[in-house]
Amino acid sequence: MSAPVELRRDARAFMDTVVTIATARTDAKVEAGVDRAYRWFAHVERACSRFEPDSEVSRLAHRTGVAVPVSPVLFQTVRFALALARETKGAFDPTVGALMERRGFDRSYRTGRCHRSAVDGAGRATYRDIELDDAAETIRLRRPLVIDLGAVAKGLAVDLAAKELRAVVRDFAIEAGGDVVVSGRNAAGGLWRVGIQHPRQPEATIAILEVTDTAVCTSGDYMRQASSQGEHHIVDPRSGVSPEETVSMTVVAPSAMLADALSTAAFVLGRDRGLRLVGEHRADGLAVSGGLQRTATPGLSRYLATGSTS
Amino acid sequence: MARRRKVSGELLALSATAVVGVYLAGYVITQPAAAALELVVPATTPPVAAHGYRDGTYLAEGRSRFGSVYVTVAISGGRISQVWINAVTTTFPPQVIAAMPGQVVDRQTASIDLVSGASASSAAFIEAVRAALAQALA
Repeated sequence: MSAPVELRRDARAFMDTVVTIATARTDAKVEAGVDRAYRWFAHVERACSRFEPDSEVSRLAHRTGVAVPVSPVLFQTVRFALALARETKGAFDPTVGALMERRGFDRSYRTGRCHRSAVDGAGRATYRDIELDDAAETIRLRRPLVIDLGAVAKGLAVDLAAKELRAVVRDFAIEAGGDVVVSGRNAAGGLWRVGIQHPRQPEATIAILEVTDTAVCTSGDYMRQASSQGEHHIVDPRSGVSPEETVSMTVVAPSAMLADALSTAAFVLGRDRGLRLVGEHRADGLAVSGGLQRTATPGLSRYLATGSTS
Repeated sequence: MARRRKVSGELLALSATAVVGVYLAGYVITQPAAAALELVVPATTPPVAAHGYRDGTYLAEGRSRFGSVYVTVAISGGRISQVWINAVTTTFPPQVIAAMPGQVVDRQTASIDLVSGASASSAAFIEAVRAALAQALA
């Protein structure tokens, strides 16, 4: 059944993706809140995008050996990324930036401009080459490296936008390139129905989740293709190639930052180890294999909408 | 090799710290006071364990005249397994209440001693832990 009430909905381009915000109602206060919500994406992008030569993270790439004071956005994002890197022993690693550039992911999708940092992607930089000082909020790089905060930064921006919207409206949904946060009820007064993109059919969903007051994020091998065959935008930092076991990994978690980070890490780890990692964080996950087999954590079934299992 | 199954709330706590920290830093520019941290709590309702708390990770804010303290409380096996301070906006430095999360875990209750000389911060901390535990009972 389709929703009888129209949502207020619009979309703007940020962070190399399209951000959509829908609210159940609107007035001047809600509109101002929506504007502030979008502004967080620009704010996070200025600090964390490696595609923008003037971003704080791009400028950091060559300042090796010195403790550089950074903004709260960059510091918090890197701190979170390093915690996940340590926990996954490098299956998630924010220092893959140069490797990604070398593989052809060097173009801003928003501006179309190429940006390469001139840092050697063949180098052996790992997350251990980044040192943080929690008290001073500084970052020190032990060697030249390019920090890729894609997964984590987008999640943070979505969480910030959600926090902004919660101040003005209860019922809303935010979507940004695979990251979703839903709150309250949908226009029909029910749970939000979040479709999981079918990894091989552009116009189809492989599952529908009925959720609210949570974040959902899917990492898939179909989102961005590199120029080279068989390579996509998620790379195993330990081997330097794209994992092939899983074609899509969805995570339901309390924050978009956590959902996006876990879905990226779990994608790299593969079905079993990936879903275990998700479970350890009391989140739920749905893995889709190359043969389109679906495997999920035990808790996921309560979100699955009936009729979405085929 | 049989590794013990672990349950971690650290990353969620760090993400909450990031959102609160960045939000408050950005907020200072435009608004005088921090708005309440609205919570994204898991839509899940795990079974209530012996101690009465539901397993999960709960975020809450405690307010005082001088600002707020934001905490994350992790419940595992019905017990308070960990408490993190996500952000402190009181005029006192966060270090004055740094020992309090450990006390909450040791005593399994929010009823802990106030920190001399930082009663506003510690009262806000205790209120935040109480609010988080209330969610764990709900």
